[in-house]
Amino acid sequence: MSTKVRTTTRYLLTEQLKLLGWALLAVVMIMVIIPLLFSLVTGNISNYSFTGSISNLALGVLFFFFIFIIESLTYDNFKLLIQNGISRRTYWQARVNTVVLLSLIGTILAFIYAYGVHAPLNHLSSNSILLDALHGPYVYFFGNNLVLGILVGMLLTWIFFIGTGLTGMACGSLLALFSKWIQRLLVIVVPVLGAFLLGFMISASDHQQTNYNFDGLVTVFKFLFGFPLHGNPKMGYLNPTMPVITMLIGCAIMGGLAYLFNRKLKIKN
Amino acid sequence: MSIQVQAIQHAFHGQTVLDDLNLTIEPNKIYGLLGRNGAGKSTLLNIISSRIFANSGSVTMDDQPMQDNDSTLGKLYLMSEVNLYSERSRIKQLFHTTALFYGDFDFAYAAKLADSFGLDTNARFGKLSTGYRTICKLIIALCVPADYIFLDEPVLGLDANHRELFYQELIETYSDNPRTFVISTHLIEEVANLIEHVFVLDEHRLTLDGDVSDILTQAYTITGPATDVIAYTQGLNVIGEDHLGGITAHYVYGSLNDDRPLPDTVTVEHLDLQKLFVNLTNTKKEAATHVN
Repeated sequence: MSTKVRTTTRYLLTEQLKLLGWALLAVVMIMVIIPLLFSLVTGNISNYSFTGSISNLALGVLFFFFIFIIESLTYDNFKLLIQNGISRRTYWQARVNTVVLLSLIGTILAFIYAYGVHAPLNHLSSNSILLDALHGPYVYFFGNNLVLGILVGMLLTWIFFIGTGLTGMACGSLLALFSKWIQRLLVIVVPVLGAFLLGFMISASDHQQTNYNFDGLVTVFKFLFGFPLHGNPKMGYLNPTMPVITMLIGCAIMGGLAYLFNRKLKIKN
Repeated sequence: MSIQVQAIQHAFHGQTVLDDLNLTIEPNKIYGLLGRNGAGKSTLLNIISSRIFANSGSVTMDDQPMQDNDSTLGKLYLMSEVNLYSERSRIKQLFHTTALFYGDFDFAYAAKLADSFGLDTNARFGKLSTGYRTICKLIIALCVPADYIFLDEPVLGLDANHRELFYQELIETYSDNPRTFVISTHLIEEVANLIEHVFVLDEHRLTLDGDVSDILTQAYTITGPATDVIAYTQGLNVIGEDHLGGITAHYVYGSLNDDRPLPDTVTVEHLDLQKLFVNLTNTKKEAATHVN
């Protein structure tokens, strides 16, 4: 790693960690402090539960949104870095490094919170938390060991966060190529179209319309996520190889797209 | 070590901004980049510093491409008219960020300059007036350890006292630590004594590229009665003219052809850089208006 890549990575990571700290503080304010103050003002303090509030912060979900949004912010850092003689290629490499490191930090925080705060305060077993998570179907593939299961879960979560960050990077780099007006248009139109498409697919599959057969698509998704094509999956014991490969390919595609868009960034007047 | 700009072509929304531009920027010289509004000065500086892309052509530093190249970009600093710093950042933070990426930032000199200009380094960049934003960028430009410093409109929003202070500091820092400065400005009179070499952009092309002293030795004002002046300047490269009462002035760029006799009624003087620039870049329409 060149000195410039290292310096830029350090700069971006420091800035993003500061923002993560602010985001966590904001969540604590919204989920814990404000309800407490509200309870105090309205005289309902007896109904307020500090442990209830602090134990349901959903840090994993927060981090998912955080890393997508923070990595999509492209132009401001590009401006500052090109002003300081940093090339687009170095900026991209440093961003990828930052995504990998920040995702690791986010994963560790989310797991510490889940098993150190959420589980004990809600009187949940570590096993049930592990199986209820998105990585739940795969955690016991390597053996019926909780620690090993948590490590598998952490690995899958880490890769998932990296993919989320890289997707944010690709989207942000693409948006940064357009004027503010077109950016706003895309930010509004694309999610609406996406929701419309999703709604259409759900409705078409619900009504068993003969014109639309999603069996092929379902089979592809089952294959990509390592579910058996026939029969019921044995949750917790599925092979994580396919989802790992799928996520890594997704990461490579998103990282590649981010690279292509990043190379075209330029200063706007 | 020099920067070579070769056959640069750039168009924006179908309109040519730079057309087949070639120039070389040598080390340890102060250059003036002059041109009228929209001539393409900022575009050229942005292309050299890899902030935007030319449609064709190349910019190299010792045969190394400048585009997306950390090793060459790190030897260059462009202080642009457009603000690229975060509005939320404090000035001292910007000094530290610059030091992080360029290394060896002269903090002592930056503190001295901030004090001289009256810049509060605890202030946020976004809270500064236009003039103080310029001052902040100028301080960074003068303290950054780059071999090539490009200053695009360096005195934008500065009052006369601050402009004077900037020119003094520029001369001092250049004497102490010679490096290349390229100054793009409209205030030609103020920089005329600073710059050693001048590039003039006109109609998207480089129309003048030479040492100021050489150029000015070839620039003349021929003054006298209209008939005598017209007779004397016939066949010479007359780039403009002025009339005041019965007196006519012809501005000539190029050799005077010394064997022609100089009438007693006609005087020959050298042009200053600003007058030369104005006459070189006046469009025909404007020149006609000026004459009438």
